[in-house]
Amino acid sequence: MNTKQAPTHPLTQHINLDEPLDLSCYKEAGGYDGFKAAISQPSDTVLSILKDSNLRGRGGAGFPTGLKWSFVPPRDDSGSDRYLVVNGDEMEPGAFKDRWLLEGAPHQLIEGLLIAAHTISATVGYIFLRNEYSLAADRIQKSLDECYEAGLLGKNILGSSLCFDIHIHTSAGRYICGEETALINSLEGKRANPRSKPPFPQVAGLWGKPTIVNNVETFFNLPNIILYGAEWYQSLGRHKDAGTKIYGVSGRVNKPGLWELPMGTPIREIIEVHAGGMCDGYKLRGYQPGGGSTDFLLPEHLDTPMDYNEIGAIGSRMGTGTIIVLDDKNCPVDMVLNLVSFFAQESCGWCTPCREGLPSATYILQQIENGKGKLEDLDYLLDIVEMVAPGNTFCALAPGAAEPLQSGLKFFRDDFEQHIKDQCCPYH
Amino acid sequence: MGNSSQAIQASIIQTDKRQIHACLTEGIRNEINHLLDHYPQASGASIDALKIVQNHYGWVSDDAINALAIHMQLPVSDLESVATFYNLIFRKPVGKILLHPCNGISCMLMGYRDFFGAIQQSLNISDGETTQNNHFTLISLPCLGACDKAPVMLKTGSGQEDKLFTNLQPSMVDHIIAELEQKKNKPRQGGDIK
Repeated sequence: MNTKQAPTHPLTQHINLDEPLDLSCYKEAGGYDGFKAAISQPSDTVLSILKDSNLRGRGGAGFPTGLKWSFVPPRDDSGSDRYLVVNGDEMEPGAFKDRWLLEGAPHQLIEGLLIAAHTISATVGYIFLRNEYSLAADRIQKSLDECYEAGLLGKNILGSSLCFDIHIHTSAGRYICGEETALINSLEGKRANPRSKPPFPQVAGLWGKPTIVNNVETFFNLPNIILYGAEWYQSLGRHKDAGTKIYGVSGRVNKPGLWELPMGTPIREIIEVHAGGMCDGYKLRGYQPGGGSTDFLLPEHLDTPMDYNEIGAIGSRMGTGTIIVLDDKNCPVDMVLNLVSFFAQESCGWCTPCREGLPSATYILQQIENGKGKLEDLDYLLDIVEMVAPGNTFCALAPGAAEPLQSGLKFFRDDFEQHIKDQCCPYH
Repeated sequence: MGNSSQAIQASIIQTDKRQIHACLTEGIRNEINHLLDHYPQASGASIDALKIVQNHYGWVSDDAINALAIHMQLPVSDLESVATFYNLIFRKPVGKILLHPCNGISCMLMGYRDFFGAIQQSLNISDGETTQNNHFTLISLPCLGACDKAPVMLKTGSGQEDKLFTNLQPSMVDHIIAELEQKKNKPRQGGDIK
């Protein structure tokens, strides 16, 4: 346990968007102390700290990180490669948190990767970035170069037995690359079709080798967890889940943006205090709590703490933690249409329900929005929701598309029916 | 088939190979070879290699795919299947400047449609099209990850510095286009639109 004052904002304490800290400044601010603390302990101990911390994956699914890592088979003597992958393919509609971290503090990402490399004995790390994040790619590359020069990457890092290389992979588009197994196929230079599980990537991932894929924000959590311990990390949360979280709000609010807040901060506080509430003349109709693939929630849910279980209990998902606000001047049918057509476009086409179901849903939603809908269309949309339910496809893309569709039909049913009755969109 | 015609056939293939190989300049090959070191199998560098070619020529031609297949010792069909899957690999020529207005949900809620209508009108093209003078190609992209500054638009293009335009209004279109036209031919260094 470190005796230094623990940071109140462990994810963003080093963020500087104008000019991220270089290696010497980052070290001066306590950077790489977490890695040094990790490497001075056996990997099992580091894994226990991580498990005890209750850190949950920040990509959207919220799977416990320590548990995920514990599925990696024990190291054998074959010397065969084991991979770490940073999922920086941020493309969830309404999500913009990873860009902030990547552009603002690239060294903290690298430090997180080094801790993970020590823990699971990884040999190579890939930072998978979406094509559009070119500024992040430049900044990370600069930081990687500094690390190689300083002996923080490469062979026998800081005199230890750890040998670890990191490469940046910039993608060429497609939302599906953010799906864990599709990302692995993409890194192998294939079409980004998801893989059927099992085997899970922890056992047979990239090129058939043990592979851990985690979100950018997950890696950002690691240095301070190791430095200040599981108990400290748990104490940061305001509700049941541990740590802090990057929350964001976009839409017609006064101050759209991103904030690092205690896990479990109520939705109302995020929207009304941090985002400054709705813009003058606009009322809150509803919102998606964690990006485009999460179920709509209503103003009546505002006092719910934003953590995985609480948001789950009221029928949505924490997802990326970036809230999209629907105001009373935008058409809910149009919003659902935008989201479903996005998922239809981004379907990789591998599984039939997704490939066929989402374009059908898009077509029907277009008909309704354009004043050509029929009442029975609403039943057909619900049939599609059922058709793309989890388990019917390899990955979560289609079930994710169904979330705003089914909750939109539930909460904004009157709007759908009015479009059909009046044969026009009342908002345009 | 007789021996002589076999020899002719072989020499044609040889010539084709040489011609095809010529579209990979030494600089491109060096860049690709450097990336091959990052992956245990050559296929891992496929997407990077396609992007390197695209960076150089602006798009990826059939000849370039054939050349890459030879250089990387990969089946043409593998590279082709990758090139057609990823939407930012262009298999047709595009304009010098690519404009990607974001059509993600936050931008839509904040007025993407009005801005998009204005830019289509100003350039006199629809989504996915290139202006007659080949200066601009317009391709909407989903969520660019800048939702707090919606609506946004990304400017890219081979040899171009990326730039993100934020908090867009339809009235800003003409100014943006005029500035881009003016600075289009400036070299990459310092050529960014401020």
